[in-house]
Amino acid sequence: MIVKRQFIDCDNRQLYAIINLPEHDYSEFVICFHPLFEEKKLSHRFFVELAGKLAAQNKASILFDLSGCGDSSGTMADAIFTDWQADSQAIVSFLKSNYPNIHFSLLAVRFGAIPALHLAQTLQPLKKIALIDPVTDFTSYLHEQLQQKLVREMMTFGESRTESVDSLLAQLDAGKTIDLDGTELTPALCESLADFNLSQLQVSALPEIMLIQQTAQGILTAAGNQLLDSLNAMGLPTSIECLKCPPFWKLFDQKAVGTTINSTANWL
Amino acid sequence: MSENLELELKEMLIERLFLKMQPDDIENDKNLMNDYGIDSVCVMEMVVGLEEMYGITFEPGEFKLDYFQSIKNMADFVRSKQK
Repeated sequence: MIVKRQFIDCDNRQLYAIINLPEHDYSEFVICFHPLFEEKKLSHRFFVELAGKLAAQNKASILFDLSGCGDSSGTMADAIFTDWQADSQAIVSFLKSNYPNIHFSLLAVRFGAIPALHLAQTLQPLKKIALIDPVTDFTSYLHEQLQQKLVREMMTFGESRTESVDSLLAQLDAGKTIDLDGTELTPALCESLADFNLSQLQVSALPEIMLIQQTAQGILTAAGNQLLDSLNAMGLPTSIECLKCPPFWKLFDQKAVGTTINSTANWL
Repeated sequence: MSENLELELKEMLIERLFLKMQPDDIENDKNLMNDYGIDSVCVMEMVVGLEEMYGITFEPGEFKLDYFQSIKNMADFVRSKQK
């Protein structure tokens, strides 16, 4: 596998990208979308190992940091969703210029599903989309992230310093930035994501979709079932893979990541 | 709610945290953090588990570590929320 690390221009920003190319001829590029916050750090190894598997199957891949995340320019304090949409488009333009005649597939972990599905509306030729425990309801996701903040405070100080999730939401409403594990969550970012509605997406290319969930019960969660219904309603052919193993983005047990890598790479 | 809430909580813990142990291996009074290596990620799973299994909503000021220190404390908390 040939690995290239480079910055890709997007407006006045520079996006850090890792491009993994197979040794032999290839006609497909998998664009990977990372999760946010702590989940981003914990899923990095998954992306690295998956890239190797894909290269062995003669598929190229690219993992890039959204602006304000990782090594890309900007800060989370300035990040808004429209910039991230532009980031995705810049990556596609770069790939089309430098690697002509390729088909695309998308792979998204957790929050990455939101920019990935947005991109899917216009990306052609688009073959497949693999979504790993995708976040498609930003309100629920925000609640979960804020609750985690309270739990971390509780573990550190014996009880949470902040009164409740609602009080954190009220702070956001009042224009205050919330610190999530050293990453700034701004009212502007939340506002720019609040309107995301999966059912309003128009994906014309009709790619195949695989929904992967890792749960304790090994069955699709209520949120997963809801998403499946939405995708079916949109006429998108969706297959499901439920893995009874610890979610790698929570790092209960990093050894379990192999199961997901194999399932994902084999399907893509 | 089952009469044996403590057993239910142990089963939930083992399932959600992928622990390789049996319910009998967890003692009701033992400290989950010190004796069983429960960390903040695990406690978050327990919070979600309590919400899903018992419909519990954490009210302002209820994120207290004491409620998650042991199976007994968790059971007492769940019972107090069910009253």
